[in-house]
Amino acid sequence: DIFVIYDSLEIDDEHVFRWPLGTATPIHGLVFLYKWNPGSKTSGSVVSDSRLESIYFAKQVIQNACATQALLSILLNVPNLELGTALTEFKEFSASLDPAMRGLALSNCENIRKTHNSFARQSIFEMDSKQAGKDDDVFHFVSYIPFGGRLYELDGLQEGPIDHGAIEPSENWWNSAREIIQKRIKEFEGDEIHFNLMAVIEDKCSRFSKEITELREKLKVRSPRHCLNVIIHGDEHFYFQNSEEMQESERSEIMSRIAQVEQQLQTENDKRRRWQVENIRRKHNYVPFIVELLKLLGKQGMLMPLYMKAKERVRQKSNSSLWFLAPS
Amino acid sequence: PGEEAASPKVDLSAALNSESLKSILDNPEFMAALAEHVPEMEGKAATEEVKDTVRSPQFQQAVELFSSALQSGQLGPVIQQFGLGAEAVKAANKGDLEAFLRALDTAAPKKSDEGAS
Repeated sequence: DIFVIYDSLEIDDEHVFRWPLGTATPIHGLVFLYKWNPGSKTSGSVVSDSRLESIYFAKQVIQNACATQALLSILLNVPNLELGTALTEFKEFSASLDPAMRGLALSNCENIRKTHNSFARQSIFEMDSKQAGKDDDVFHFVSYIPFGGRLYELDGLQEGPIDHGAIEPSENWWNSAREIIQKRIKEFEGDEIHFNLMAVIEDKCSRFSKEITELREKLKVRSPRHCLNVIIHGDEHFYFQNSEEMQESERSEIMSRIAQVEQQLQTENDKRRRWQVENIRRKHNYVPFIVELLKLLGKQGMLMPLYMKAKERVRQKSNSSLWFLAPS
Repeated sequence: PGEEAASPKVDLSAALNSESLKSILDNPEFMAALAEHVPEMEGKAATEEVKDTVRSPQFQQAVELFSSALQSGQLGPVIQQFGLGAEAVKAANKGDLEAFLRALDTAAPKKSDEGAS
């Protein structure tokens, strides 16, 4: 069961991140990816009191699963979220363990490991896997979640959840997180790095499907004929209307709403399909395809001309960079 | 290291695109051969996927990686598995992309023709 998806958020030059999601979309948590620096200190205080019993926190015991862990630490802390069987079982099983043991359990959970690995890029040769290993050491993921009216940072390398204070009840919780993340990004100023910020949001597909079903149910319900209904119109005016008539206008309203939501569901499903295709391609080993392609190009006598072109491009590039360096 | 800086690595990814590959992609026989090596996509003909593959960033990345791995000499053992001939394997082991492509190109004049092809 997939119930939650990721959306990438953009961070612009001013370190302000844009919110392509619209404020109506509930955000369960944020995942922030950054270059890990042993000296980097977070603000906020590490929780060590009884709140540890209610906030699900796991320590990170293996290096390369931190993205999965960041995601899970959000999901396991969303109240009333329908987790699939595998995750529900895992949460129940590990609830009584301490954070270090939870981390260990997490990295040993077969289902979670399989899902994690299914997103990993296949290493086609040694060099590829070495590069990936280096990146894993450098980058680190932390999550931000609202919990019991306060903002917490969950970082598997810390001793416990980090309390970032109360969330203004009148504000969206992520506004507080945004400030903290932006401050963090500023610390890296001038450093040549990439950040990534992702939001774990409610699954739009299931929300849209649910709404369509509800609307269809409404259409099925018929009120008795020739009965008068009171309709409140605007603030003060009300008038009487024949029920049949009312049904007609309400009906068409519901119908157009259904069409609208179906359109949104379609868009969302298309997006899913695109992601799925991307993931299949990302995991595919293209070496046999490339070799076949080179063989065919060779048969046509096209390889050397293509190579010369590619070589020329490199030469031009290096010439222009040499020219750039010339004054020194 | 000094030598490396003098001859930067050649990247084939920009040279292999739908435009430069048009004559390959228009040939049904070639398409069928390529279709064997693309990932299976539900509800989609493999030949369609071939066309989309050469346009995809994932393929471009794979070619870039292939180019750089070949020039580092690391691809020799992999190339050996494809039965491309001794000349190609020798070039791959040496990390010589030009010699590797020359070995595969039927139109290119061979430096040393040993008669075995």
